Amino acid sequence: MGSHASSKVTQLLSLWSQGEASAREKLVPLVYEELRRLARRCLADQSCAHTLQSADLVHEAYLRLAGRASVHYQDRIHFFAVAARMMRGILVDHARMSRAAKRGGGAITLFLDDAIASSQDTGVDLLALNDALTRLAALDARQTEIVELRFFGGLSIEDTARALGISPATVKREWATARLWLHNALRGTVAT
Amino acid sequence: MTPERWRQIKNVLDSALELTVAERSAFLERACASDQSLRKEVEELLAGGKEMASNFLSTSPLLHLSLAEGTRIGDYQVKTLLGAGGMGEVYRARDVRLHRDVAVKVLPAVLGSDPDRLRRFEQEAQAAAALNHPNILAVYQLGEYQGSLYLVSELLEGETLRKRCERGAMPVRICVDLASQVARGLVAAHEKGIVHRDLKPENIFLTKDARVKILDFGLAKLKQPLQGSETRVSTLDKITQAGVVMGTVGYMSPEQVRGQPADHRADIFAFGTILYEILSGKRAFKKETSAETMVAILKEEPPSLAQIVPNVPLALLRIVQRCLEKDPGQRFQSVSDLGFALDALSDSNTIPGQVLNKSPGFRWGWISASTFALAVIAVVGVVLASSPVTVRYWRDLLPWRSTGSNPEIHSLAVLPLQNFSGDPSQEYFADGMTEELTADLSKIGAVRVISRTSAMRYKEANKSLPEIARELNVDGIIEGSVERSGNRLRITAQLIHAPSDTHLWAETYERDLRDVLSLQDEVARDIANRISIKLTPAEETRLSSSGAVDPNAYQSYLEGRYYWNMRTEEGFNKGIAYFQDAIAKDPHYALPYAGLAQSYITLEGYGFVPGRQAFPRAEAAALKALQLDEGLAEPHTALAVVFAHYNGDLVAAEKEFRRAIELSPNYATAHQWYAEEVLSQSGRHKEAIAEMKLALQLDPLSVAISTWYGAILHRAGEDDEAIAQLRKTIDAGSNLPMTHLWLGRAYVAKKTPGKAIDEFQTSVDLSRGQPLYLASLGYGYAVAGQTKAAAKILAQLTELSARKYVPAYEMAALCVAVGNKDQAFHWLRKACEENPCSRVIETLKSDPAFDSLRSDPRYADLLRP
Repeated sequence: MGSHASSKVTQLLSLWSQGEASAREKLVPLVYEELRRLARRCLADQSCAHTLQSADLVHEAYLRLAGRASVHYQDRIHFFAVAARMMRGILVDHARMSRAAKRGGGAITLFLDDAIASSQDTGVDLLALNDALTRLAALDARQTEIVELRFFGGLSIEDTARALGISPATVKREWATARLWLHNALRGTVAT
Repeated sequence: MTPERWRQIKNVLDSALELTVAERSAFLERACASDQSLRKEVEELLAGGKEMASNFLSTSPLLHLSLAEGTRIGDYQVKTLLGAGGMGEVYRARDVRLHRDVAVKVLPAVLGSDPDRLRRFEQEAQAAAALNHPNILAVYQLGEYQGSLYLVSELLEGETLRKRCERGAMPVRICVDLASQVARGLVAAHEKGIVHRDLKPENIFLTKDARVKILDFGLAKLKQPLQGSETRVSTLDKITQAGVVMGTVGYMSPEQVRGQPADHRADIFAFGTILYEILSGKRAFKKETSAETMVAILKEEPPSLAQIVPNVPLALLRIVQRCLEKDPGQRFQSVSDLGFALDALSDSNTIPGQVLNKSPGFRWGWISASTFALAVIAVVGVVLASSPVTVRYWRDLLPWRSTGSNPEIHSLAVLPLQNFSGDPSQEYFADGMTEELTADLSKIGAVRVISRTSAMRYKEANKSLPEIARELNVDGIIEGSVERSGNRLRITAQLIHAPSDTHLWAETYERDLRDVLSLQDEVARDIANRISIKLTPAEETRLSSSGAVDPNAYQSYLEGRYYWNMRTEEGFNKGIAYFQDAIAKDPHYALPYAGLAQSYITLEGYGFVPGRQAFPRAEAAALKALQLDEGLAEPHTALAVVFAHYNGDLVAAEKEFRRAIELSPNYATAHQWYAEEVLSQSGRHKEAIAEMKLALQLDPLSVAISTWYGAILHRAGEDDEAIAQLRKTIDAGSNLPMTHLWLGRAYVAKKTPGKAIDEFQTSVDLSRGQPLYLASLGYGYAVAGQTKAAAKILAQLTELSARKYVPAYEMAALCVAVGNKDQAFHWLRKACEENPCSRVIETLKSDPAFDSLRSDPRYADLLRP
């Protein structure tokens, strides 16, 4: 992505911070494309292909898109908020696909060494987590956002607080109970 | 849980988390004093927390990303990512111009700038695109997208051989089939001067319809320049001539391991390693490290295949051995030779089990005399000892793609579709689909379609397609598979021209189970088109009128058919239960009503229930079916039987039969019952015989039709012919009690009661003493003058009648034969209760068995309305 796109991202982020909602809509495809492009580049380089974390990718995307410009701190947080949400979607789609492939349900492909990408290793079943998050969103939308930012976007408690405009203490509390709830949900023990 | 409740829980939880574990209990006691379930929920979450890993959700997931759905790459719109690996990502994409799904492989951007990898990629595309063969992945296009190269190919569904291998060794016959498909692809490639050089289970793909596709000619070295690409060849040659070890360790040939020039015989070696692996489930050369593996390839023999897999035919062991010769000069010198050896193997009977998916029609190319001799001596000779091998000289490598018009097909048989669901309990579903497809095809007048019962005989049979075609006297064979997964349904079908053993057409269909009826129509239409049959407008309508059906109802319907086809009392009753279930699930679905009608009719026909119980129900069900779909032949047929057999209205019956035959000219049962119930009954014996012959042609292996053919001959007074026909039926393996019953009756007519008794006795034995046959046996004894034995059976039946249905008319005949007129009239009156009296009397009038009653005044009473 060239400097043109980069400045465009900076501009959109700034507009968004000023309360222009449509800026977010315009930002999404740019961020998405960059995430994807980065990942593909990463794939090509075998050394990182299998160790890349979504949070790293989000940060990398940020650096490439807006890093060189002087971006207001708040704008940066907004960027991560968008990227984290997208990360969730991307990863879940992917997990769904590779599960289908494992079951032999999906169309599996040729050419390649049968290395269907997998995104486990964090000990979490992404599809189950996604379902649980969807259920949690019905109970508490803000908690879900916190989890997205922390888990998929790799944001710290403080950054998460800034992104959502709440206190770090609140994030910390909400994060703790959300984790407990999700942990139990993933064990299938929480009644809904 | 509601958001309010969660807020409550969270509040308590927040506070509890601030406390030490020891303090929590007392806190919860207080906080949840009025709400014990709240306490329970909080405690549960806390308890779960104890098991929670400290880094739970603290490390973000690892990932590979893909192009977003909807992204346009040239003419292709990305749908989903299918896989990713070192050489790129592969997507399912939509070709927006040609409206088909394709596979698009995108080379990662950075790779695009790596000249070596780029060249290999282009090389793959060019080499593969030059090949056009059913066993090689079809490559459509090479393009560039945002600085990345991409390759468009046909989209395959299935799995790689590697995946399949992970599930263990495969049956020998399947291995042979797979191997010969791989060989065919290789023959085509080698002919064009293209060697794969990296053949391995990862590069062999098994589609869901059991077709093999060779993938990834990416490392293929162009042995001979293709037209117009000489400059490229020289570049390519450099890659391989530089002594770079290419290919995958474990499947590489010794010459490749040494970095020596490798030709097509390297593929033959790799082929051997793969064949070894699929047969044994173990890799031929597999050591701890690649270096050790390479040494093994150079120096060691793989563990004895014969010891790992005891049932591998010797000839096959030799094929593997010869592929794996270290010296290329000792291997098969061409894949054609190898293919010939495999072909000979599957032609012979040395492979246990049915030869599955032995795709017909492949010819191994010209076989030179020396090659032939070599092959026979080296490989086939062993096989030949037991069976003759036809040496095939073929004009064309790919006859099904050759020019010229399609062979004409005038008759078809649908072989039992294979159940690919991996679940034996789904067998009824595959069988049911076979039957339904047959029924659909039967609607086409211009082609003779063999009925279900005859085709089903080949479910387990170990016979070649030409052999089956000969036995059924057809020129076309349809075979295929059914796979059901939840509410998705996939059907594969292929059409084979039997006399020339060529493949004319193959197609895979995938639909929602709900659309199964229209899918069947579509398959039937496609087949009709393929055999260049012009459908009449009425046929078009009949093949496109099927609407949606509740999948559960459809399933119950198929189960009903499955039981009905058993032709036992239990089978009929279970069938009825399933048909009723199907109706309950979808009251607007016509076929289960037709099934119900047929079930009631056959229950009566086989002597399990009286007519009065069966026919009104059959009539109601048939009428209901017709109300829902007038175009179904089955309910018209059922209704015709009710009219003829129960109402005695042969005119109305004939009209219904004719309508049924018009709707489905290939419906054997309609022809059969028309002959029995109308033509034979009204004394039109010649027509009856002709009609029955037609039924038999449509269902040549049906013992029921064969039996009833004998029956109408007997009714026509042609008892010698009847006896011959029934004997033939029995010789062909009929164990229907009905066959022996009619044979007995023919012997009675021929005044050879001794023989008749034998036959009646057999029918009693086969039916395990069913009253209908027992009564006939008694009658036989009486006719033979063995009154005592006859009386004994009469007593036995009388006693039986207290707890079981005993056909009254047959009882009356037996009573007359033993001279018990009182009882005879008792049973005749009972017969009048079971069936409309007019029907009974009509039969009675012309039945010589009752001649002695006619002078009795009670007989006149009976005739009085």
